[in-house]
Formats: sequence, structure tokens, C-alpha cells
Amino acid sequence: MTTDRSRRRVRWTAIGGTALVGVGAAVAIGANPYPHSDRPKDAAVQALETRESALATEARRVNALNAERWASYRVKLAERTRQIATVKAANAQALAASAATSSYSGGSSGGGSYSSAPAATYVPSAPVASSGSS
Amino acid sequence: MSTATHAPAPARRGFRAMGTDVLLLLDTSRTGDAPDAPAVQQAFDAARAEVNRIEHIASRFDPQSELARLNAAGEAEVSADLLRLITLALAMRDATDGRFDPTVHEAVVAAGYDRPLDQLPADAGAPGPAMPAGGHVHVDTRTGRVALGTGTCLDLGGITKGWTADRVADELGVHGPCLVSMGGDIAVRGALHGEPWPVEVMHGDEPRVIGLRRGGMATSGTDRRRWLRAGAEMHHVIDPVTGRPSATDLLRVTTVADDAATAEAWSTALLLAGREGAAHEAEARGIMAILVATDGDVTVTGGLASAGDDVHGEQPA
Repeated sequence: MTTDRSRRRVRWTAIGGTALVGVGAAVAIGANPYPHSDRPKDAAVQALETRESALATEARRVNALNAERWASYRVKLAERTRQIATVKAANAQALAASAATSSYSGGSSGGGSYSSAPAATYVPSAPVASSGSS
Repeated sequence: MSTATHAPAPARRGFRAMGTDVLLLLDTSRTGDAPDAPAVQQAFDAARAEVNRIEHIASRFDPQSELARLNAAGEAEVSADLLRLITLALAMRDATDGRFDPTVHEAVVAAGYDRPLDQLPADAGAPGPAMPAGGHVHVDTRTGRVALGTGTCLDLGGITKGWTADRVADELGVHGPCLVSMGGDIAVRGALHGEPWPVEVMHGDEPRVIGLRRGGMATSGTDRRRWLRAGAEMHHVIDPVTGRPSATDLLRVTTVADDAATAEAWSTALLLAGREGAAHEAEARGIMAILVATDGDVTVTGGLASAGDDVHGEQPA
């Protein structure tokens, strides 16, 4: 009996000790006494991080440049559109004036305005170009 | 007309591109620039660059052109410019009931026109078999993807010249009234010293002058771009139905339209319709056209005659 009780005590003592060591180890690992920053980084990881940082900088630079170019393009486009509108208005005005005064502006509608003048008529002028088979 | 007679001549630049003569005229009287002023020369330089750029896109002779690569691959995602050209050509095929057809490429090649005209041999063997057109072309305008049916290749030669004239005239017109001629496919913007641009058109063997106020003008004919195959004369106007150079009784057709590309397509379509069909269709559609028959007879349609009372008679004095 005495032997059995003694054995049981030893067993329980061993189990308790093992549990205690386990808990202690878990606490020690959780406390992280050797943080990664203290260890030298892997060279490949370091290169990747450097590359990532460089790419992020490049992307910001390209985005800024892109935005700048778009803004410049929009300004130029607006200016171009204004120029075209001005020229078209001037041309339409000039054509309307010539259609109103021209001696050959009759056509089927009788002429008198840009929109009603025929697109083409025979004229006795000297040609500046010719339309042959292209 | 006296205005034009005493006014200074427009600034002028001529050069070769797309296998033809290109002429740029710019009326600088409004800006007061001399013809050799840097601003005028820069405008001409930009216009020439645009012509060259479009040629590099749509030439069927340049194997590196976008069109040649599409023809070789059968399917490709194309640039916005080529997409516009192809959709325009297909729209004109529908509008002309298939008489203007960009899928005549194989027929043109079979007839022997497989390289620039100035590089064709003086004579060669018999032409290849007839290659009727009407090929299938699928265009996805959303993605810009073009797929050609089996055995189908595109020849955008004619309409590209008209379209280029329109594009360049839009650009050059910013600097003043202008005329752009791509080998006779003509686009004008504005008026020359307040008058229409006088353009020579042949009535048979007799030159006449048409005042073009706006839009475009083009001439198609079987009398130009000819070559020999086994002793037989061939020409570049292919009948899409027969797949052979057309046997029309018209020698030449000149049309006036809102733009040069449309004029070019209709001049080809009317040429293929033959004398009676073309006169009937042009009148029905109100197309200003000059139809010159192979026997020299001239028919004028679409209100053009009323300005000069000139259907078969003399040019108005």
C-alpha cells in the first residue's frame, strides 16, 4: 500500500511538474524576449522591401506626372476647341457674305446664305487644283 | 470672281504620299502671313506629318502598317483611327448596296495590283482567278477588335485618301481657309478670298472648273492606275460582284459630298452602277455628280447643272 501511494505521489508530482514547465515555456515564448528587430534580416526580404519602397515612390511620381499632363492636355484641348470654333464661325460668316453677294450663287435654292448655297457650281475662274481619279 | 483674280495666291505645299500627289493650299489673306512665314510652314509640316501617320496605319503595301498586320493576322485590336476608317468603309458598303466594298483586296491583288503602281512590271502573266468581294468583317467598336472572315482582307486605299483629306483639312483649317487634295480627293474648309475654291474637273477631254464651297469632292475613273496582264489592260476599280476590274460604260465619275471620304465612296459606287443606273441613282439621292461615259458623253446630276445649265452643253461664261 505504502509503495502504491508513493508511486501515485511520484506520478502526480511528475505530471504537475511537466504542466508547470509547459506553462512556463508558453509564458516565456509569449513574452518574446528576443524580438525580430534585434536579429539581422534575410537579404532577399530586405531587397524586396527596398524594391517595394522604390516602386511606391516611382508610382507616386508617375501618378503626379500623369495628372500634370492630363491637366495640361485639357487646357490645350479647350484652347484648341476655342480656336476651331472661332475659325469655323469666321469661315461661315465669310461664306455667308460671299454667297449673298456672289454672282453665281443662284443654284436650286437661289443662294443668299451659307446653308442654302449649293456646295458646288460651275465657275469661270482659273483652277487652283484638279480632281482626277485618285 | 474678280476678288479671287486680284487676291494673292494661297500658300502652297505639294509632296508625294499614299502613292499619289498631295496638294495643300492655305489662304493666308486673313492672317496676313506670307506664304513662307514660319507659322504657315509649320502648319504645312504638321499636315504632312498627319498624312504620313495615316499612311503608316492604312497602307496595304507597307507590311509594317497596321492594316497589313490586320490582314495578315485576320484578327486584331486596332487603333482608333483604323477603327474609324474600317467602320466608315463598312457603312459606305451598306449605303452603296455593296458597290463600294473594302473587301476587294484579294480581287485587286489577283488582278495584279499587288505593289505600288510605279513598281508594277510592264507586263506580267495572266491575272489570278476572279475573287468576288462581300467578305465578312466583324467589328467590336467597344473593344476595337476587328475580325476578318476566312480569306477576307481589307483594301482601304480609296477611302483613306478622302478621309485623310478631311482630317488634314480640319487641322489646316484652324490656320485659315484651306484646300487639301489627295490625288484628286479634295476637302475644303472656308472660302478662298470669300469665293468657292475653283477645282478643275475633266468633262471628257475638256477641262471645266467647279467652285467648291464646302465639304469634299472626289473622282473615280478607269482611266488612271492601269497596268498590263498578259497583254490585257487592267484597272483598279474592282466590281465586288465579279471580282474583276469593272466593265462599266462610265470612264470617270466626280461627286461632291459633305466630306471627301463620302464623295470618294459614292464616286466609286456610281462608276460601277453604269451610265443609266448612276444617273438615276444620283438624281434620286440628290448627289451632285459628273458622269463621263466611255463614249465621251457627259451627264450632270444633283443640281450641279442648274448653276451652269450645262448638262451636255458648254461651260457657262
